[in-house]
Parts: sequence; C-alpha cells; structure tokens
Amino acid sequence: MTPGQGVLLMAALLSASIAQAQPPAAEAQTALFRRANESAARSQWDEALKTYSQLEKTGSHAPSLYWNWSQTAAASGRKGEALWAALRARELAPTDSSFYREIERLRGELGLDPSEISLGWLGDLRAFGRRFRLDIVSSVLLLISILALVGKKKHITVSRGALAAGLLLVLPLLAGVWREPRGVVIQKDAPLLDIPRNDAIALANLREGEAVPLLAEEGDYVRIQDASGARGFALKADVRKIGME
Amino acid sequence: MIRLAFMLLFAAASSFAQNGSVRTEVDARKIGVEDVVTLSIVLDGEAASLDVAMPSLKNLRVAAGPSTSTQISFVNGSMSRQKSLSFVLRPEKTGPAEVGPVSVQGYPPTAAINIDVVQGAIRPAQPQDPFGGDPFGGGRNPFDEIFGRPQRREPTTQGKLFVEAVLSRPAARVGEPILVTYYVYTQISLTGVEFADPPKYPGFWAEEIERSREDSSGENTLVQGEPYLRFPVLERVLFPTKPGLLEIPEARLRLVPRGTFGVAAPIERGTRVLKVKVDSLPAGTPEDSAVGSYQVQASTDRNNVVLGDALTFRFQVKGRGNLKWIDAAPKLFIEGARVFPPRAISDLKTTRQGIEGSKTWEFVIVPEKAGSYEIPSISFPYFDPQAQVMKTESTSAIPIVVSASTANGAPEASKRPTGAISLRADLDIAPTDFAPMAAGLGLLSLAAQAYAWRKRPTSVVAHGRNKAAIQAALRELQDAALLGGTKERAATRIQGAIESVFGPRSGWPSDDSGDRLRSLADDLEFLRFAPQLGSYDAKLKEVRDRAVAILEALR
Repeated sequence: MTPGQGVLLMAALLSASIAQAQPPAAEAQTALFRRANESAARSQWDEALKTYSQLEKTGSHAPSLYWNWSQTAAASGRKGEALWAALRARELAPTDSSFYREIERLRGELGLDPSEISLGWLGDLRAFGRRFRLDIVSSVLLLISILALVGKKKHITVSRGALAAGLLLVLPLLAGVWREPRGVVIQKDAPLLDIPRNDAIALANLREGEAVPLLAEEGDYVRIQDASGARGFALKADVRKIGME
Repeated sequence: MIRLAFMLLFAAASSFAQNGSVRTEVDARKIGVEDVVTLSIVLDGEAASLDVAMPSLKNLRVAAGPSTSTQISFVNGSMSRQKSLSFVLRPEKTGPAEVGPVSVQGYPPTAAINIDVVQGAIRPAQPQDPFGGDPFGGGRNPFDEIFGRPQRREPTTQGKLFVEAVLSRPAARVGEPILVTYYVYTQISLTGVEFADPPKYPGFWAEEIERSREDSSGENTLVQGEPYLRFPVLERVLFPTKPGLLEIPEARLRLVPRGTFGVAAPIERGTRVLKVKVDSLPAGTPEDSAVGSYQVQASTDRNNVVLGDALTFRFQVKGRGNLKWIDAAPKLFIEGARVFPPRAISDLKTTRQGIEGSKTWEFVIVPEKAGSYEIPSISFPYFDPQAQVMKTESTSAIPIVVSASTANGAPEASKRPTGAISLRADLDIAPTDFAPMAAGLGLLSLAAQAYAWRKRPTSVVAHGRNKAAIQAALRELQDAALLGGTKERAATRIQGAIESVFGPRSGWPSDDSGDRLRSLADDLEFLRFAPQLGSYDAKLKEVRDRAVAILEALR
C-alpha cells in the first residue's frame, strides 16, 4: 500500500465512524426540538424557552430552532429575546426572507430605529454580502481565475479579471471578521450600571431589543455602550450575544 | 312681719313686671292644610331680656324658625326695647288647631290661639322667606349663600355658635366600624365652614362617607332650652386598628359668620376630645381577619377545558364590615395545574354602617395534564361583631374536566399552535458559508497568477528587446527579392526572420502573442509543403505582411 492509499483508507474509516456517531446526537436534538415545540404549542412558554435553550447548549444552531425560539418568546411577551433569536436565525440563514420580516415586525413593536438593531457597519456589510450569497459568487469567480491559468493555453486576461471581481466581492465578507461583537438587550428596562458590582448605581435603563456593542466582559457583567453613547455595565443575563456565527 | 315682707316683695315684682309685656299673635286664624301660618311672640320692655319657651302646639308643627329680631328705639330720651320671635307653623291635618299659652316668668300667660284648618290652600301666596332675620330658615341649607343663592334678607349677626363631634358608639372591637359626625350648632348666619386642621384619628383607619347636598341641610334643635340650627359638616367611618382606650383629638373648625355689612371675621371652634374603648378580637382570632358580616361564593367560567387552555376561577366575598382591609388573596393550590397570581377586583362603598360591597379575586388556572381536577373549597374566617363570635364561610369544591387525551397521551387540540405563533417542525441545517472557501480560492488564484508570471517565456522578452535583431529581420522581410523566388524559399526566409527574433517555436509564449506567432508559423509550413497547383503570391504577401506587423509592434 502506497502512502497515498493509506491516507485515503484512514479518511474513509474516520468518515464512517463520524457517520455512525452522529445519528444518536441528532435524534436527541430532534426529540428535544419536538418537545420544545409541543410546549410552545400548548402555550407553556417558559417550558418551551427552557428547552430551546437546552437544545442550543447541545450544539444545535439550526435556523428553525431560533425561529421557533423567536416566535415563542414573542408570544410570551419577551420581545427583546424574540428579536435576539430572530437576528440569530438571520445570521444562520441569511437568504430566508421570513427572518427579515420577523425582525422588522419586532423592531416596530419595540419602537426601535433601524440603527438601533444595527450590527455595526462591518457587521451590516457582512450581512449584506451573506444575504446575496456573495460568498458563492466570489468563489465561482476565483475558481474561474484559477482554471483560466490551467492547461497549455492560458487565458491571462480572463484569469486576472475573474480574480479582481472575486476579490472585490469577497472583501465585505472578509472585512466582517473585524466587526465588533454585539449583544441584544433581552430584558425590559435592564439597568445600565456604573460599576460591575452588586452595589452599583443604575445610570439608565436600556431599551429592550437594542443591539449594543460589547466592549468588554467582567465576571457576570459586560461593558456596553447604548444608542445614546452612554457607557456602563449590564448583567450578562440581560444582554445576549449576536453576530458570532 | 314675714307676711308683710312677702307682700312688699310681690308688689315690687309686680311693679317690675308691669314695665314690659308678652303677647302672641298669628297672621291668620283660618288656613288651608297646605298653607302655613306665622306665629309671633313679642316681648316688650323688660320682658325682652327674658327667655321664652316654645308654646304647646296642637295639630301644628314648626316648619321653620324661630327667627329673632330685636328693636331698640329712643323716644323723648327714654329707651324702649322689643324682641320678637317668629315661627312658621304648618298644620298637620284639617280641623281645629291651637297655639298654647306662652309663659314668661313674671308675666301672665298669654291666651291660647285657635286656628281653623280647612282643606287645600286658601291663603294668598306667601313670601319665599318669611324670616328676614332667620339665619337659615327651617331645614334650609346654611351654605346656600356660599353657592351663590340670591341673598334677599338681612342676616342675623348675633347669637351662639359651637361645634361638636359625636360618635355612633363609645366602644367597639378592633376592625368594627364607628361613625363620627361633626356638627355645627349655630344661632347666626354663616357663609363658610372649614376645618382649621384636618381631623386626626390616631389608632384608627378612617374612611370618608360621600355626602350628598341634602346631607348638609340643617335641623332645628334645642340645646339647654336654646334653639339652634344644627347641621353636619363631616362624617367619617372609623375602624380601630388596635385595642385600648383610643382618643380622637380635638378638631378645629373655622366658621365664617355673615356680618352686617357682609362677611365677618372667621371664628374658630373646637370639638371635645373623644375617647373610644376598643376591645381586641377574641383570643385565637387571626391577625388582620375580617370583621363584619359576609358571604362567599366561588365560580369558574367553564368546567370543561381542553388541555393547554386556561380557565378563570373567581372567589368573591360580599358583605359589610372592614372588607377593604383584606388584601391577602386566598391561597389556592391545585395539583397538576398551574395557578397564576390572582387579580383583585373591588366594588366597595363606604356607608354609615361600614364598608359595603364585594371583593373578587380572579385566578387563571392552566391544567398541565388531562383528567379530572377539583378546585378545592376556600374558607373565609371573619369575626361577626353582632354575634360576637368567629365564623367561617366556605365555598364548595368545583370539579373540572380536562379533555380526554389521545392514545399516546398527547391531546390533538393541544398540538395545534396558537394563532399568535408559527412554528417550524424540522431542525434544519444552516446553509454553508463559502466565504472561507472564497478566501482560499482567492489566495490560490493569486498564487497561480504569480506562478504564471514567473513561468512566462523569457525569449519573447529577450528577443523583443533586441532591437538590432528586429531591425535585421525587418530588412530581410522587406527585401524586394523575397517574394521573387520559389514559395518554399520565401517561406523559409520568413521563418528564419521570425525565429531570429523570437527563437525556436518551442520557446514561444502561451499567450496571445505566442498564438499569433504559432498561427504565422503554421501558414508558413503550409506554403512550404503545399503542392504547386497555382500561384501563392497573394498568400505569401499576406503572411509576409503579418510577420512585419508582429515585428513592427515590437519596435
């Protein structure tokens, strides 16, 4: 057996073992998802949200999970949490237009300005690129640019043109890597504190559903900046991260 | 001697009495049963300073009054005084009526006055207010003037005035209602009454009674033989909150009399301090328990529900007492069902007897399993002050049936999502993000470009830069004898000129310029080996021109 054949055999064995190990985990996740959906259908909102959270902790990041989470949270009156879940769903399935409609609906209900649910200009640029699948378009162009150089007859001009276009289109997606982390305020009237301690003074109340930049983390608190520019600390439980797909 | 002294004393008294007179008169001897008659008691001279008692009345009652007027006159240097008391009398029924004799100490009693009462009204219309000097008139609201009623008479500006607070009972239990009423007693006309300080009730919970305008109307009363107009100004229901001898402090009222020329300076009067003996509830009575008389009832909006649906349970307490105190909702626990904190609805009104009405607690219950449930009986203990015992009212247990489940234990109806939400059934997979792949391809493409650049043929560049070789090749191609020989020789010369610049064919680049050279070389090859079947001059010329153009482009 040549070294190349050995590598192929090992890869095949690894793939087979992964394929055998995956179904039980997937089945458990499906069962959890179904249980959560049942609770939601019976208007047992708390139970449903708890189960969705449990499912997320198992590593499931399905867009439908966050969609149902958003629907359940909205029905139970937790609009901020619903908006967070809808934003998460949009991150995961950027081409699904229903997520955009749901986000708009919740934004309207919460009385937020579009800028208040912005992911920052780099984040929004990346979301735009993902919505129109610029990743696929740029991948195809860059592949063409490579293939144009393969073979006896090299199409230098075509290759260079495809390379330039591909790089231009993939740039928003790559630039998004440097976007600032953001979180959504899921708790109504969550306090903005001066210090990350129990005896902190509440400087202001955060707007439910507002997407705020996460500047730092300290214990159970995150340092944030609200839309008015005020900086302070909020409880981690009150602000849930987004844009980390 | 003693007899003589008595005779002298009687003579002196008689001479004193002779300096005045007492008389009674009415303005009509025959009236209808719907009419009124004015009785005037006139005291002249020395008698004007004496008190006079109300005469006995038969088939008559006082409708208003008395109105007092005093007149002092000076005639030829001597002063005379007259006091007049006027009453408005209303007959009770048809038939004879009588105003009894008026007795004033030191004066002979007046004669009784007989009045004949007939059916209907026979007198001409009476003036609206016969009492020019009456502060209020019988039953008249003393605050009419405050509210802008036209003033048509002269006010009374002299007389007594005091205030009094009256309790409905001197002793009570904790939580038992006591009514306290503040009265103003007046003989003068008032234009305003207000509390100088709000009344305080330490140890009590006070509830004010809403009073209508009629509640402020005054009534005539006698205090120590003196006529007053009494009217209530405030009524409060008090609920003792602790046992002991509790005191209600003095309340001060500011009274504004009507002066001769308008409003006079206000007068302040205070009530007496009141004491109430408050007993605690019997031993064993829970703290803050209700006191009064109550009934309870329980109901649900439905008794059959589908699993997942909610039902409303109402527990109502109705009655009279201190129901407003009862804030704590009854405890309700149902195994297998979720009970949400209740909403309290009060429909209470404060009356002189206490707080009346109902208080309802509404619970939302969501059964968590299918089957039969029972909302348990709820007890409401309270102290009944009339019976002086603790009583407990209880509701009946209410059975609830939650719709039958399907074979697998999950009811079909409950599986339906509510209208408010739209759930997705499948745990789908997020679409793959190809951005990392695109980044990889971009790098790969850049690397390929660099490789292609490095691997470009150097001969083109080398020969292309050799100007002398290009010049020589051009001269060769532009030689007039080039196309004069055979086609094979011409093709070989052109080929040689090209290769002198670009080198052998194998070194030509794989780009467009190389493509053009290869195309030229192929045509030359064709000319060289093609059979001589006709003239190739035109083709040779065309190939020679292409070769010249390629070389010219390099210059």
